[in-house]
Parts: sequence; C-alpha cells; structure tokens
Amino acid sequence: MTTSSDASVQSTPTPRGQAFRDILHGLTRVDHVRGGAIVAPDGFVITSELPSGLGVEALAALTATLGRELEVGAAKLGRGEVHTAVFAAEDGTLALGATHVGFLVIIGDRELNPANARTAMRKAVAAIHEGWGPDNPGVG
Amino acid sequence: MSEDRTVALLGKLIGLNRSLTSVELFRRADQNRREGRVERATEFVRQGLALEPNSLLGRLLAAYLYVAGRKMAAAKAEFERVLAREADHPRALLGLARIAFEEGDAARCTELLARALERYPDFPEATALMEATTAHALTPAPSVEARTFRQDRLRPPAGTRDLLLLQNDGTVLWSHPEQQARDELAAHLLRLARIASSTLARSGYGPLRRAILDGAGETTFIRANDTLLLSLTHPPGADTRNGLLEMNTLWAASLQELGMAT
Repeated sequence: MTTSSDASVQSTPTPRGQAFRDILHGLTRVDHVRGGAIVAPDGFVITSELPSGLGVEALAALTATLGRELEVGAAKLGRGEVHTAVFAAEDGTLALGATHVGFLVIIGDRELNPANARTAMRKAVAAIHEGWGPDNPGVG
Repeated sequence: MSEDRTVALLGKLIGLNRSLTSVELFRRADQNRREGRVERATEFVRQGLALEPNSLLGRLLAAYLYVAGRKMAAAKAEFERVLAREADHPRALLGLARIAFEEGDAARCTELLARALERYPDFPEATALMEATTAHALTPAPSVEARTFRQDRLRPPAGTRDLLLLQNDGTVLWSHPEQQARDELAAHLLRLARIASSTLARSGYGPLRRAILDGAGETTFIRANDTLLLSLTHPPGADTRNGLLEMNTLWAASLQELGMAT
C-alpha cells in the first residue's frame, strides 16, 4: 500500500478542469507570486503550479487544514465566513481563498504586496463562486 | 418482461447502473472528485458501494467526499470503518487526525499521525501535519509578568473592535473590550497561527508575522512574533495599508506595555 491519495485514475481533461487551471494560472501571474494550487477540503490537489522542490502533498495538507480552521473557527465564533486570508512571514507571503470547491493557495516572495495578493485572491474566489458555487454545482 | 429489462428497471428504480462495475463507478467518482463535483462523485460512490459494500476504496472515497461536503461526523464514521478493516491504513489515519485537529483534540491528532508515520515514515502529509501540531510545544511560552495595561495605550481605534493580545501558550494578556467568546477566539487564532507558520516555513519563508483575514462580516488583522500574537477586528473590506499601520502602532504599544520594546 502507498500513502498516496491518488486512486490510480487517469483523468481526462475537461472544460471544468481547464477552467480551474486557468484561474490558478491567472493568480500565479501576479507579480512576485511563485506558484499555487487548488486543494479540496480533504487535502486532495485538484491542480497545482508550484516551483520544483516544494512538496505539493505537504503544502496541500497544510492548506486544507488552514482553510478548514478558518471555516470551523468562523462558524464556532458565529462570525461570517472567511473568504480570503493573507499570511506573511519575513521572507514571503501566502494567500488563501475559500470556496465551495476547495481552497486556493498562492505563495509569493517577500516583495509580494499584501494588498495585491488580497485583491487577486478575492477575484479568483469570486470567479469560482460565479461558475461553480453552491447554487451552481454542476455547471461545466 | 425479459430478465434484462427487469434488472434495468429495478436498477433505475433504486438508482443503480448495472452496466457499470464497482471499479468503474469508483473510477468515475474519483474523476468527479478531482474536479470538485462532490454531488456527482457521491452518487457514483453510493452506486459503487451498493454493488460492493466492503470496498475499502469506496469507503475511503465516501469519507473524502463527506469531508469535501463538510460533513465531518459522517466522514469520521467512514474513516473508522476503513480502520476497522485495516488498522494501519495511512489515509484513514490521516483523515481522522485532521478531524481530531479540527475538533481541537491535539493529543488524538498526534496519536493518529504517530501511528501512520510509524508504519509509513515517508508520508509527507502526515509529517507536515505532525510538525504543525507539535511545533508550538517546542516553543516555550514567554515569561511575561502579569501587569495592568494602560487602557489608553491599548484601545481599539474608532470603528474597530475585539483587540486581543495573547501569549503563544494561549494566555490572554489583554482583551479590549472584554468579550464573552474571548477564550474561544484566542484558541482559534493560535491554531490558525500555528498552521500558517508551518505552511510558511514549509515554503521557506519563516514563521508568521502578519495576517489579514477577510470575512463576510469583518476583516481581522494579526501581528505576531515567536511568543506573542495581537489581533484586531475591522469592518469588512478594511483598507490594507491603514489596517497594517494601525497594527504597527498597537504592536509597538503592546511591547512597550510589556516592557519588551527595543
């Protein structure tokens, strides 16, 4: 047995899969963004565009945990849903977006402007909600 | 009526597609799951499990889909069913560990991860989550003396609320105004900071220093170092630059009140 979450299925590209890749690609073109991923709430990687050497499985597991903590914390505290979050360290920044489908994550270097990351992520989350939100789950 | 037609009709009535094997149904379920089509994937899994109720793959897919639909109690039950059949199943152990983390049960989370890593030491997701769960235990809490803060120095600016200053062990050093859910908010912010720090560190960036959380009802700004965390809640859509500048002022005042200013 392996530890992989991959159920050994060869997937065929679909318009929906391509649309997710396009949304992610748009995010990774923001200045100083190094890469990103779209991760299901269980940590499964829907699509990713990350620099080589950065372990996608570990990043996905942490992204899903972070996204769920935002969801669970907001619900427990009776606060409104968190749509986007930006986390900055000395040497770089991570931005996360929460959607019905899963969590978007991008990582950027220390020059990534938090306001730009916030705006870009907000737009990407809105694009997913418009196309595949809870009211529109089967489109595409 | 021919037997084939009877089977087809019965299949329609109970929602089964007899022309597909369970393997094919699970394959289709997984493909839909990959594209975030939770409802469609769930239907394929339901049909597959009707044909092969004891399929580990089917049970695991069902668990993943419950997680994707945020139905954590049902997910937990499916992961436990997998473990009942195979006690060291790594994905089931990881799934249950993540749910334990969400429930704030760090001890159960680390126990499950340790079991997974003992059997499968090269398991990146379990390793990452274990690091995130245990990292805080390695950082000693600061020896901050209990002291009375000057209210005028640490007051939420006009239009903001819920100013909270915490130690990394969860001790609330200052809260203004006093709020009923103070301890719950503190615990949530610390869990969030720990996971964010681990994720940033995995990307080679170092621990969390600042955060902005944009919600439907508010925007929360966070400032942190290795031992302290300060948070302040603004109205939704608060301006990034102003929010960060206000946090700088409050952070400097906090360190001064604690006698930690350099």
